Amino acid sequence: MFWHNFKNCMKVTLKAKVSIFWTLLFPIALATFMYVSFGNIMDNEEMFKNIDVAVVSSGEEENGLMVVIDALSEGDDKLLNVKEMSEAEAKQALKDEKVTGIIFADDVRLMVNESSANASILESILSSYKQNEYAIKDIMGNLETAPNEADIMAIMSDVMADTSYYTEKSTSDSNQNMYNNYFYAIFAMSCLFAAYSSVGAISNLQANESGKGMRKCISPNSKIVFIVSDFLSLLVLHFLVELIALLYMSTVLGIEFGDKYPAMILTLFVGSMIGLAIGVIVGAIAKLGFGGKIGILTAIGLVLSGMADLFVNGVKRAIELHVPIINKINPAALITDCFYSLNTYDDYTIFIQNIMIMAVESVVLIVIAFMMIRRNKYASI
Amino acid sequence: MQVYKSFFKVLNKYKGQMIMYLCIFCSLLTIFIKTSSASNPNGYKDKKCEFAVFDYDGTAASMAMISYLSETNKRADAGVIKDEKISMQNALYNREADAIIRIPEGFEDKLVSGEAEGVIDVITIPGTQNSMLIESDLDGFLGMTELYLKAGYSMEEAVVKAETALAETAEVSLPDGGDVSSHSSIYTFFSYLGWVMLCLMITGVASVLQVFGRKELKDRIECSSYNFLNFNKELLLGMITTGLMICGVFIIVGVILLKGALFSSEGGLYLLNMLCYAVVCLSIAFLVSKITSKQEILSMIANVVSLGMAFLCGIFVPVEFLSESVIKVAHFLPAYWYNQAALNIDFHMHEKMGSIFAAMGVQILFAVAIVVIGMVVDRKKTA
Repeated sequence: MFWHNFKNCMKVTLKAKVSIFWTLLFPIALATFMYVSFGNIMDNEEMFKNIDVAVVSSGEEENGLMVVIDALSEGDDKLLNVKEMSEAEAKQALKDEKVTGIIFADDVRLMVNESSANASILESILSSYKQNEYAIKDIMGNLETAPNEADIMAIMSDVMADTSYYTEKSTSDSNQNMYNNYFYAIFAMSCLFAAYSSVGAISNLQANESGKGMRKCISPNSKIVFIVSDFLSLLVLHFLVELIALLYMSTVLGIEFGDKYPAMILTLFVGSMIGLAIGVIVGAIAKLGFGGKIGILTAIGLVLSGMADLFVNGVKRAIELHVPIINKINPAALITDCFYSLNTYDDYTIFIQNIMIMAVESVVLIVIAFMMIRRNKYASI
Repeated sequence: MQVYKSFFKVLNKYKGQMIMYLCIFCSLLTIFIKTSSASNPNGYKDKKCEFAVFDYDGTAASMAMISYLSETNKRADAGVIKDEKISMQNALYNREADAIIRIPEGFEDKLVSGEAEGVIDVITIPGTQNSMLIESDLDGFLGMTELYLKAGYSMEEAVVKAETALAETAEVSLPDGGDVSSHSSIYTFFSYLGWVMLCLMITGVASVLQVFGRKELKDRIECSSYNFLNFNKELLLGMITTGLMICGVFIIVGVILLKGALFSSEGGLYLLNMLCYAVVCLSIAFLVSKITSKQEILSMIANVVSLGMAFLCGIFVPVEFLSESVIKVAHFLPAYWYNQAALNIDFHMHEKMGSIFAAMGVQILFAVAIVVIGMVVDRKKTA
């Protein structure tokens, strides 16, 4: 009986297509759209590339700034891409966004379109030129004896020394792209939407909801066999669905999730489990119609995964800082947190903690649901 | 007007879903408008990075450096970040701090003896623009201080002198017309409308049209005495009324959220653009209702099509972030033209009036093409 029901539950779910769409095709489509539209934002927006800049100079007098600019626009790791232009050309180029800014070399002045990090870098080049100029004049002016050649050379070499006082360190070798949060949230949403399948299976167990439920109710089989076999069959199905989604995102889209795949797969397994358990408990509410149950599940799925950064990045972090307990209960946040901690930390403490919480939550939900469904008696249907 | 009346009776069944989309839209917009209005700089502003600092030296040199960096950048909330790996990883990943600076003991002595190269730890995401900015500020201050130290000044004098020298800054100006980087909230509102309008039309209008397209129902209506032309006329009228009603709801929402910004020549253009897009959405709803006969498939199509267009056409993600090839594909999607018109209204309303109207025209052409495809599909199915 167990295997008979196991097999048929899987068939019914596959044929219904609806929950397969919401747990597999929709997440894959969403991930593809997100990947295509902002998979490269980190490269475009945050990582430093050399800056296109127009230089307007009369070229008449000896200009120290031009020496600095030339030095910055040479070599393999050059900072600037310089084009010398007339003022009118430069302004047109700025308007067409061909250059980030215009440097007016004669009076050490900058014109930019917008406040941005690149504009700030340009500004700091010009400012540091002016600052060094000021400092040299200041030191020279305050010397007790008139500066001789050697003094000037010493100061100039100090200015040019360009010492770096810091050592840059990174905390993690892993992917630091915060847009990955969206992809983690897609997994969370997909796991929670597995509830559509289990709510359907539970309604097929209840005599007041479906013909199948009536037949199953009068059969001599124990309810626990039905529930367990349905649940396991759906768990296998949705676990496979999540694996396909993971495979697609990591190989076809090439999103970097890190290299701890066994742990990620465990996350998806437990994630599917909690998603199904939510469907079971909602399905067990006897007084609600099927449409109402689907509505509740959609709301639960969207709100919980929204709180785990599906729509707007930063929601989860804000919750973490103000009401951290919510993130320790919300299954969507737990799923994204598993991915995040696997990608970022070296040890598994937080990961194991999250998995444990999800496992306990799903067992509790299923036990409650079983209490609600068993021994249901109907006076009339 | 029997058909017209029953159109709305059927539509009434789907109002729950439509209200759900409307609520998601309103709450998202409220968040976006609140967050975007907080940062609306007028004129050029030096970009500030957030940094956290752990000072284990506590000398005049280290404190002067911190106070200089706090002026040029923003010091992050010290309570949240701790000098522990996990805490720093969280803060860097969530961009609460762009860099974390650790000043070791004995820093001042090394600076005086000229051995300070590389003594300060800067923990950051290597290669980001913000980390470069803070590092260049740090080097700038220490370089200047060392210059004065070598010229024979004491530490106290040198840091003061260095700050004076660093106060010299280059003049930065914006071209006439000002900052063109941040969008107005009215643009944000209408841009997101490109996503939710399509969702609403497909879940609402397409569902109703699907009901009227059901085989038994259609057969019954066709063999009744009801004039075929009137039947179609009333269906069309129902669609137009629904479209206008939805537009009306958006106008009310807009007036509430944007507080009167709609009542301007700019607002008028936005509304005109919205009406054009409403026609496109109705045509898509018509086509979708001809393709499928199952209700649950409708909500799948509604979500995939509307989210897909929103991501690819520059509604959820600004056009400048999209790759060239995505933008080329987007030219074949009506939402791209809707968004382009909105963009031009926001930035260059007076210069690009021609292209604004052209973009609206393209939308209407899309609508016509989509309706024709829908009719062909319908003909093929019934033939």
